[in-house]
Amino acid sequence: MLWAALYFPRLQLDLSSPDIPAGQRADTPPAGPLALVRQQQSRRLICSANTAALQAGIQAGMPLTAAYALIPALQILEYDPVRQQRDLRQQALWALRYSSWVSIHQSDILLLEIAASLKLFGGLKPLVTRLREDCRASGISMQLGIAPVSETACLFARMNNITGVLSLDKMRRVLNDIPIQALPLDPFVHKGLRQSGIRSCRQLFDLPRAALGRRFGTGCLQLTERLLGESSERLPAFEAPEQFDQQLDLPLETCDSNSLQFPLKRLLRALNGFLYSRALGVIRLQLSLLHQQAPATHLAFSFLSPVNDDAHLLKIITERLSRLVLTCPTVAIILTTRELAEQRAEIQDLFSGHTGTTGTHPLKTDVQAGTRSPAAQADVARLIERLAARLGEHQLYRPALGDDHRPEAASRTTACLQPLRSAGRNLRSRQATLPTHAPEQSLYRPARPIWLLPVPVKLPYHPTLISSAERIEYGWWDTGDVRRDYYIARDRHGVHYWVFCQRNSPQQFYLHGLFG
Amino acid sequence: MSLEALLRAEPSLWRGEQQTFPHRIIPTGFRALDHALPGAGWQAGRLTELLPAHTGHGEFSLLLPALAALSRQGHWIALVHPPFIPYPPALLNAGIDLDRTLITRTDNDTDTLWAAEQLLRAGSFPAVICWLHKTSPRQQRRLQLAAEAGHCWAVAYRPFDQQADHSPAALRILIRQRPSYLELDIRKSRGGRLQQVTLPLSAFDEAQGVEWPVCNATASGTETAVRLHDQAAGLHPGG
Repeated sequence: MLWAALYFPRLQLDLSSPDIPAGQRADTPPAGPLALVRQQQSRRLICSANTAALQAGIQAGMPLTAAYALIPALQILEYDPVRQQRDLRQQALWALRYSSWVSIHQSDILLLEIAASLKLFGGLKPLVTRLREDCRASGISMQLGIAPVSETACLFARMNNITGVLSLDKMRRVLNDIPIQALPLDPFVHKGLRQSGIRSCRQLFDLPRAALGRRFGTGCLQLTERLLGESSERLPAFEAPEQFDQQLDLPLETCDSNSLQFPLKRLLRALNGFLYSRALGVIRLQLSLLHQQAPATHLAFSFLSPVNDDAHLLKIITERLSRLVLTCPTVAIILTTRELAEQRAEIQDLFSGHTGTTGTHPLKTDVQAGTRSPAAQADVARLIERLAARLGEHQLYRPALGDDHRPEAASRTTACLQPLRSAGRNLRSRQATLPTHAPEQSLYRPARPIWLLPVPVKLPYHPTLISSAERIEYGWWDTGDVRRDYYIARDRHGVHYWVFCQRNSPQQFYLHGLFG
Repeated sequence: MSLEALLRAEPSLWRGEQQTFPHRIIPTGFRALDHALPGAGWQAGRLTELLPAHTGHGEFSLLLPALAALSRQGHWIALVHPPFIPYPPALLNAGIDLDRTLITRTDNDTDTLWAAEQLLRAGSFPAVICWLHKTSPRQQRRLQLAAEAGHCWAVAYRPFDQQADHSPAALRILIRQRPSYLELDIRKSRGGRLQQVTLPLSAFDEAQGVEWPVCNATASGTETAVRLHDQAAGLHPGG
C-alpha cells in the first residue's frame, strides 16, 4: 500500500477568502490580512492565516491579542468545526477522482491509497503534479506527503519538506532524522522527552518499547508503532452519498452572476470526483442560489446524455448564468444532482495514449465518416446543450410529423433535449410505405409548402388560383374541426402560396403557407 | 522539393487554374447549376450567400436535393432562424430526415450569427443554413471562417436589397423568379465564372419529392396577385 496524505492547513480560510490564485485574475488587488481564530479554553488563538497576514509576522498558535498588536487591521474568522467537516467532505468527493480509497483523517487531512492509481495516471510524478495543479487552480493550499504507512504520510504532509518515500527501509531512514518536536504528541510528553535528552526520532525508536510505554504513556508508544508501520490503525473508507448535494458559502455576497464562476468551479470539481468514482454521468442537475432575504433561485439543467465533464458543465451553467439577472445578492450556492445515469466508458486508445478522437483534422474525418459514431453523437448532444443554455430550451427543436391531416397538427416539434434517436427512423418508415420511384407517388404525396405560417392570415380579396382544390376535412370529433379547400395561388412575382377557403364560405381566403 | 510542390503545399495560396477542392463537394441536384459552380456543386468549408428577391419562389427548394443527400448519409442539418415554420411533410417529401434536423429560433441577428457560428465551428453539422437581416461584412467573415474551421457548408440568406454590399462569401447568388423558370444570377464565385443559370420550374419536382400539381403555370400579373404579394411581404419578419 502507498498512502498519499493531503493536508489542508487552512481549508476554511481558503474557501472563505475572496483570494483568487495568482494568474487567474490579474485585476484583483491582493487581499488584506485575514486569520482564522479558535477559542481554546479562555484564550483565543490564531489557527491559520492568509499570505498577507503570514508576511506580517502572524503565526499559527499566536494569541489573538498578540496578532492585533502586529496588525491592528487584521480581519478574523471564527473556526467552525461543522463547516470544516463539510468542506473536508467536499474535498474528499473531489479526491475520489484520484483514488477509490479516500479516508478522512482528523479534521484537516485526507488519506488516499494511491498504489492502485499509479498505473492509471502514468506514475507517481504525473499523479503528484495533477494533484498539486488541481489544488492550485482552485485556490486551496495543500501539503502532500507520501509514504507506505498512513501515519507517516500524515507526518510528512504536516512537515511539508519531504516529498515522498516509497519503500519501508527508506521511510525508516528518513524518520530517523526527524526532530522529535515534529511528532504530534502532548506538550507534557514533549517536555518529558526533552528532559530525558531525546532529540531525534532515532533515539526514540531505539528505546526499548516496554520502557517507552511505561515512562511516556501509551500514546507515545502507539504513535511510535504506527509511524513505523508495526501496528496499523483501521482507516474507514469515505463513502460517496447516493446523490450529490453540496453547498458552498460565498466569501462575499454578490449580485454579479459572473463572479459565481470561481466558486462554481470548486463545486463542479467535487461533482466530477463524485461522478467519476461511481462511473455515473449527470442527466439532470439543479443549481440553487441562496439569498439572504429572498427565496432561493433554482436553475434546472438537463442533458441529452450523461455528462461527467466539468468543463462542459461549467460552460453550460455559465451560459445560463450570464443571462440571469439577480435582484438580490447571493450568499451561497448549492449544487444538487437530480438524475444520474451510467456513463458510457471512455474509449482509451491503446497506442496513442489519448482518449477520444484525435488527429490532425478530427472534425473533417468525422464529417466524412458520417455523424453516426457514438463520439460524433456526443458532440452533437454537447453542442445542442450549449445552444439551448444560451438561447433557451424552447428555441431549439427538431421537426416531427404529426399523425394528423390538419396542416397545423401535422407539424409537431420534438424538444431539442429529448434523447436522440437513431438516424433515419422517420424517413425509412415513410419510404417503406411510399416507394420513392413508384410512378404513382404523386397521387399519394400532395405538394406541400416548405414554409407554414404559424396562424393562417385572412386575405381581403380573391387570389389567383392555379391549381385545383384539395379538400382537407378532419377533426369533426374534436374541437379543431377543419373543412377546408386548399389551393395553390401565385402572384405576379412568381411566388407560390398555399391558400385555403372554408367549405362553408368559399369567397373568404386564408394564406397558410409559402412554397419556398 | 521543387517550387511547384512547395506552392502546392501552401494551403492559403489560391491558384486560379487547376483548382483543388480541399473540402467536400455536395452536388446541387440541378445539372445546369452544377455546371456553373466551381467543383460542380456546393462547396463545404465555404460560405454560400443567397439573395432571393422574395420568400416563397423556390429559394429553399434550391438546397433541398443537397440537403436530402446529406440526410441520406446520416448527417445533421441545422436551420437557424428560418422565416416561417419549416413544414415537416414538405421536408419529408424532399427526403430530409426530421430526426436529424435541428431548427433554432432566435430573436435577433446577433443570436443567429452566434448560433450559426457555434454550429459551424463544432463541425458536427455538415450543413448550416441561416437567415440574416442586417449584418456587417465582419460578422459574415466570421461565418466564413467558422465554415472553414468546421469544414461545413454554410448558407446565409440575406435580403435582396443588400446585393450591392460587400460580402466575404465565396459564392453569391441572386435568385429571381421569372414566369416559367428560376433565374440564378451568380454575382461572385471564387474560382468560377460569373454567369446566369436558369432552372425550369419542372426541375424542382424531384427536389420537392412531388410532382408540381400546376400543369399550365401561366399566371399573368393581375391586380389581385400584386396585392397578394404585398400582403405576404408584410408577414416577413425582416421586412
